[in-house]
Amino acid sequence: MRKTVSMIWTFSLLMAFPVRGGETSPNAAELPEDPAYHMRLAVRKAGVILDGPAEDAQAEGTDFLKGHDMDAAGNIYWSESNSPVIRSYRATTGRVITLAGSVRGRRDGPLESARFGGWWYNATNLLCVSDDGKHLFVIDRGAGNLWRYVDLEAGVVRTIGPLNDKESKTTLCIVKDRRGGIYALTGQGKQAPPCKGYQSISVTLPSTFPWYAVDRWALDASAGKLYYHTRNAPHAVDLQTGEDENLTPPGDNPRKPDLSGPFVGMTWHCPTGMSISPGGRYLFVGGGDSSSFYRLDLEERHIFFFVKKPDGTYGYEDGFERDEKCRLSMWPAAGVFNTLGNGAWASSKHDNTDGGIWLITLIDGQK
Amino acid sequence: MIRTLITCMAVLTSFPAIAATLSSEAHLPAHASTHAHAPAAVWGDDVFLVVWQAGRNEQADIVGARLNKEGKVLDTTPLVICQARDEQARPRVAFGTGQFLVVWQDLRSERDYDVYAARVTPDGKVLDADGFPVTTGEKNQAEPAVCHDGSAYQVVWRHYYGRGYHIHGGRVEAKGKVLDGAGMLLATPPKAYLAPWNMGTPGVFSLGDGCVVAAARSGRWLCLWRIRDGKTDGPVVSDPGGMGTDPAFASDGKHVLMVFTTFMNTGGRSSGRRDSGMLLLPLEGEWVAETSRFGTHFTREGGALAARQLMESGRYVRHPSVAWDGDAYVVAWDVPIRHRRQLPHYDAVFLRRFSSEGKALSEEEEQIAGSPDTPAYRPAVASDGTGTTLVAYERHPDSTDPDVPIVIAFRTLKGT
Repeated sequence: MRKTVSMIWTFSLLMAFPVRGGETSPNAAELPEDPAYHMRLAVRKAGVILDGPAEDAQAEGTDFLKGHDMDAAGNIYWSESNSPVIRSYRATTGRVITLAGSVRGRRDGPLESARFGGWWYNATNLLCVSDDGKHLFVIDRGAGNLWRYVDLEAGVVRTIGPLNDKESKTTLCIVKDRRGGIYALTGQGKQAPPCKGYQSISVTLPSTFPWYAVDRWALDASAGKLYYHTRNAPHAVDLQTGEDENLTPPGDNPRKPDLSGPFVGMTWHCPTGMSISPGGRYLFVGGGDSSSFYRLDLEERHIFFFVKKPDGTYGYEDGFERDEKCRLSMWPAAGVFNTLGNGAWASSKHDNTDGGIWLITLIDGQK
Repeated sequence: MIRTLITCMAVLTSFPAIAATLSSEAHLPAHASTHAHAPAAVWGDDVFLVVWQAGRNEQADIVGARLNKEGKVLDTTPLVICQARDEQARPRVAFGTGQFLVVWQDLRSERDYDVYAARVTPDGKVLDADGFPVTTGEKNQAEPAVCHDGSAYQVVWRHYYGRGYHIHGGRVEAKGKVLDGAGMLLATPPKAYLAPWNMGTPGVFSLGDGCVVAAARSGRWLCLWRIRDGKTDGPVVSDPGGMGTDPAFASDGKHVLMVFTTFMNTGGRSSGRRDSGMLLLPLEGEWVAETSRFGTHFTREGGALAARQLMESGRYVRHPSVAWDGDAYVVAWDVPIRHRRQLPHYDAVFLRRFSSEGKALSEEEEQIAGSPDTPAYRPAVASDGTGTTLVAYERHPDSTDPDVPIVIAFRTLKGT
């Protein structure tokens, strides 16, 4: 099943890696196997920016929403498409605020006057926030693919460095661990620039590494696994052996695109966005050009759709094709979850209602 | 040489003398070192009044400053119009019956937005400290716009109805009395459209015998309604097939010019590009919609009036604002531009003048503010109608000094 490709990973900090970051136990509480969720639209995609109450989606955003994440407290953070700002839904107040950014440009400093180059259609990738809500990292596409750091405690924005420095052949990838910590992976023996909020790991990345498709990837630091995706499939890299596994190889009988079932035979329509459950069993992958997002059970090696169930709740089901019954979204669709199992999902469209940021909340009493 | 001369003559013929002088940039005073956002401006009784949002999120207030015709700032510290608790944002301003009315969206309830207003006199007195409510219904009432229709102020706003926003409106008398209760339903999105069933940010303008309000249906289809006695009978231009947002108006007394952003023929919304559009509407007669490549233009008795792009090159035009200076329409807008590849975009303010018939009076638009280190954003244009125009905008500070706040800067334009 496993297929080793030319990707060879070497770790200068390999031995330290699994225990860094304050990891206390390799067995974090796992999410329920058959969860039931409420889902509600919090921020409407309406072409304008309107802060304020998110109840009934009174708050609004400008356009396709893709780079988004959630912290353990349930606060959601996202980069606006067509406006160079980062906004946030605050769980305690139920309000949306403009968190950082002002006009287009590149300027570090206080949140309100900092500048981002901005994001737009098909270039709105990767935003991740630590589970404690103190550290946020985003690729600033409009500023030349720079990593920007938002120190949410100090209230300032900093520029870390380029996503891919072609001259030094150094790739900087910032990824969120299943426990909610943030790690910076760098290539060719380089060290990531010093920065609060992440821990740096130097790895060797071959030229085939899909830096161009850097998205919100997932890391299981305790198990030494990095999950990323190409346009065609999610992959898992064993950080100790360098093995790169296509999690969903086509096999002898590839299924139609976006049809649930075993890993083998799955074909994808441009996956987008990943997160991993706190216990490391489930990998969540956005459907990209499909109409939903998926839960990959890494133990059972089976893929489930996120769907609306007959009782009106939402959860994961098998056996659905991509049709109107289970269709949740048009492009893009990325579900992200925090370590408590609550999540958010960015949708372009939901049935005949609006697209935007959807809150996905575990129904009380089942955890 | 001969070809050059012919070209020059052709240019001179196409763009008649438009001598207009821009002053150098000056700044309005900051309010307690807060950042300044979203200015709006109007002329009335020999002064310009510029209002803006000071601060953001829970710390935002509404302040303003006056300038005379020569561009001299009359208020060394901003007029504090509202500093109620929580957020007050997105002010708009109109002049009528000897005073200004400033409107804004207000979160002092800490529950949802309401629309508040305050009167300001030309000599700088705030008659309604912290404002009075125009509408405080359930859910959001937000993003107001205002004009004076000759007898009362007409305020319009977005009203949340459960699955999106409608446009509601209400009138305010000169003494601050609110007519029309909590507001009248003015405009709704047609249910035949696909989601979102939502009305966009409105613009409103006086026609003398009522007002015209424009807003985008379902996020993009710009439609117009006429308001008489605070009510409307439905859209006078509906389903035009053109896309547009951010409408703004001015009038030369014969026509009304509406400027807006449009997505038409620029790769659609998904490309992230927006061009601009302009419509000339006759004050009388039937308005008929046609679709042009730049959105929608309106004709009288079948004759096309105007549909122009603001920028020759077709860029991501946003936040257009317009005023009639007595001789020409002055239009300003902002655009993200990039001066060199691999460097970040930055926002800059552009300006262009157009004749009464909508013809451009210069070969190209002129960039009047904004640089990579000091971007300029969200212009607001006001004119005295006799040749002096004020353009106010956000000016973002130099990158080397992070403690300097975003301020409102301005330039005056003297036309012939």
